[in-house]
Amino acid sequence: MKKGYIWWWVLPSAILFLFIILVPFIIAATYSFRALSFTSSQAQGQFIGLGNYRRLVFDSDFYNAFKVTFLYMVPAVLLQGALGLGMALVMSGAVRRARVLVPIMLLPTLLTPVVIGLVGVLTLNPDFGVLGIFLNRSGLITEAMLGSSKWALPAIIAVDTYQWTPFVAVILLSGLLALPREPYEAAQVDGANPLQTFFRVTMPLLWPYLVVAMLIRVIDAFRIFDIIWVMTRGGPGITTEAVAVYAYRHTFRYWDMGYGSALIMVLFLFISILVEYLYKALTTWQAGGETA
Amino acid sequence: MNDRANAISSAVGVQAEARLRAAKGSRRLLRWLSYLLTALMVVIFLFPWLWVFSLGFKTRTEILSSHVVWIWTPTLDNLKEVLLVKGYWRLIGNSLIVATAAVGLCIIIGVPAAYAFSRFPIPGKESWFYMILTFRMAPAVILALPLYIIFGRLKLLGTYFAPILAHCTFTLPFVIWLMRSFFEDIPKEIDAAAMTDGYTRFGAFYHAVLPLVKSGIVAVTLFSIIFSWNEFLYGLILTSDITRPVASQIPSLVRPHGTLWGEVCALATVASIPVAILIFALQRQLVRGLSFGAVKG
Amino acid sequence: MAKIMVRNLSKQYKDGEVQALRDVSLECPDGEFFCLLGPAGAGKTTSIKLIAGIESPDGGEVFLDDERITGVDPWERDLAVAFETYALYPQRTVRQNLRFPLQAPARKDAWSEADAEKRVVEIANLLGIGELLDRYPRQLSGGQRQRVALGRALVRKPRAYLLDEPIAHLDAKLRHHMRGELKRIQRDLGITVLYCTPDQLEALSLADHMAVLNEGRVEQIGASKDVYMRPANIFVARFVGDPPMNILDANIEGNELLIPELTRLPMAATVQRLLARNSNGKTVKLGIRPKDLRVVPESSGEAQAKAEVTHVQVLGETSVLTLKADSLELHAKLATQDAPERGSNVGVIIDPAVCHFFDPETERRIEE
Repeated sequence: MKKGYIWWWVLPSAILFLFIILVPFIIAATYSFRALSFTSSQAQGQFIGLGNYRRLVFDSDFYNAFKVTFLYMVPAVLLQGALGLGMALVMSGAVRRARVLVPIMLLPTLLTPVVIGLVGVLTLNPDFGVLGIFLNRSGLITEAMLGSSKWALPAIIAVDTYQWTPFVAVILLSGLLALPREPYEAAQVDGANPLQTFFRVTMPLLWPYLVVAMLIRVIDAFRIFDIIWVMTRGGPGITTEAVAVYAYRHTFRYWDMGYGSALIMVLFLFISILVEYLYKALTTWQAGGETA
Repeated sequence: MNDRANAISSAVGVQAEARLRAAKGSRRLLRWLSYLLTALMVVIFLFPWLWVFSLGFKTRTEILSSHVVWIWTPTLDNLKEVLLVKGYWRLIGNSLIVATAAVGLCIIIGVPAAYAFSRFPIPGKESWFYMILTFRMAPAVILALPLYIIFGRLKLLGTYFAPILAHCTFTLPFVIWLMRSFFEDIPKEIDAAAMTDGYTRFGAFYHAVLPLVKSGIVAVTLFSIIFSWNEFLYGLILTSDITRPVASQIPSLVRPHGTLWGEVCALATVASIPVAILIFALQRQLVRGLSFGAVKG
Repeated sequence: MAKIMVRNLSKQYKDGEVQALRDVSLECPDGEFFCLLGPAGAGKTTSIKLIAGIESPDGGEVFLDDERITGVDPWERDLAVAFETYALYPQRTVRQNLRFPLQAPARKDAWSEADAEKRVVEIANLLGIGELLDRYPRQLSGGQRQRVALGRALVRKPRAYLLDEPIAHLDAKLRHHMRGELKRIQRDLGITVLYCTPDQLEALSLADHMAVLNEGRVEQIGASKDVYMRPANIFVARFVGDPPMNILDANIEGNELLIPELTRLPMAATVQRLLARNSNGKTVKLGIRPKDLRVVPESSGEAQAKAEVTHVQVLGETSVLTLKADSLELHAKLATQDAPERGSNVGVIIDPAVCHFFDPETERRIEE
């Protein structure tokens, strides 16, 4: 193979990658070391070293954003994992007969997130929403959930779970459907009851699928934006302001580009660490079969 | 001695048989129960969504009534109002333009790149791939600001170019990542056979290997269209009212007060139909696409 | 047609973990049927890949008709390859698979539609797959697929053919038939064929010349007869010929050869001269083919040693005996009608004239 031949294949992608991903990223990185803001006359792009990052450390809203993100992520991911597992187990029989169930179940996951957010807003509306009316009448939740600092985040968690549980379920389903029959037959002859079969046979074999699905969900938790934006815009106040929404506030509302860029960099760092785990999980799995 | 052993083993055999039979019976019951539960779950999941779509065809009073109206005569007024009078059908067209252009571009340049990653020794392959995955998983807000500034300088804000290129930031990595896994499934000997048969490397790629990943390319294309269609942030920031895709417009129609729910729902319904169609077209490849190629569905 | 030559080829995989070829040099003359014989992992497939240009050697050169082609892309080398793993195009019918090489851009002008179709049918009928032309590979049996792979190589008229175990997965009768067909075609058309096989019988019957490979090294190159009659070392001696040659340790004591537990052999003068050449002058490895090991009744006066028949394997006209003398195990081959019973004791005669002698350290043949 002649030298440099590979470039013909890769160059267009490399150029695009460079211009729309690497260059913007580097620009953001450089901005993070400058004081640059459209709204402040003082900040005209002068170099201020770690000034933005120092400000970050003392920004209580910053910690709030992470707090909100974690308060959302932990229950959401756990719920999605448990419900997804339950769904997969219950549905495995039916799906074997009717594969069309899979796309139907995945509709919440693949439909536009803003639309799902819309569904959330409407459903939970206490005056005329399907669920909202019920919650209101029965006295469980009498206020508008999305305007309440107590219930806004749970509402987000609920909608996110509605959207993503099928995703987890379908991944686990593929795992279930791919499981070999022999261990189950052996367990049956050995007289294992369903619970034992589940924990000793099913779970170890499903484990890699669960790990990948959960990892993806955890990383996605740092990305969540659309749903929050439609439903609460991050409010009331900042009670539902997850990290991505918080970054948006500083970049596109306050136009504080220096500070916003620093936020972005920190967020990126976080995500790249998480992605390292996902990358390892995906590549060992792809290469070596289901023994992640 | 042998007789006793035989007796024991046959007793065990009989017990095992009995257990299997009992298990079979209870298993059938369990299975019908699972079907019932499945149907229930499908209904629960589809219901909120179907209800919201039904709102698009109800009048204002029907929507706002404090009793859920189950049976009503559907009205097309909302649809007419939002699409035609307000001219929001253009938004749907914008989504289409942006999605097809971005995906088309990324497929044309991404598929050969994925092939190269699969077949050629590229220095630092693993690092590139890690970067590709990281940017695929990064939130749009990270690149949105610098892209806004760059496009602003290039006077591309408000044109179609801006959102198209912005969508490539997640489409290109996705295409390369997933197509590579499809290419890896094709034995490298097919390439070798075609090359010894007289085809150049590109000829082998085009005539011998590409036909074998056709279904993969279709899947990646449809998935990418879905993701692009659903994208919100870039579409909001980088476009003007004329070029805005529909997904980016919907949240602005949802206001704290005075939202025209009927119209919003009608718009959302229409915006969701193409995606729904694509989802069913993708039936077989759904799991593979969602799990980044790890789960071969 | 062209002659193929490789010089000092070496190739390693997995960063040096696997040394597939070590300093391999051989020449396949123009118009000859040349076999690469060797067990699995010997380097046969790697050699094919390097000659075809699918991979590049770490060291050494490849020549086609004295023209250096190392580094030339495979599509410019004008060689046809039949892969051991078939590598058929799954989405094309058999007919399209066979047509594919003829439609390559480089060659499109050489073959008209009609010519190509004719050629495809001709080759398909030759290989007995004429009726399968419109089927897809997934609808074919393993043997049928293998014939399509072979056909895809034969359908062209390149400078040489590289066939990697092309009939290994056919049933015995079909394999026998195909061997005959391949040899006939090769001779009639004077084409150069480089043929890989792990089957020594196949190599012996097909090859004009052969190279015996083992673990990436060339053990011997020569005409079939030479390789069989005068194996260059113990590996070749045991690999070529079935059942494998018996190899015995022998001590040189004066004028006699002492084979422990078996017998003493008086040495003829020539044999003595041979043995003066070996490395330590005291021990030697003696090889005798099963068919050369004479088996006589126990009572016969000629017998040099006694052994017990522990196993008789009937192979039709001939049978293979497993003989045991103390801890020594030998094989002998003779006509079934003369074969003694299992468990009986027999006499054994070793004629030094038909023995092969190998240096006990280098394992190389001791020549005269």
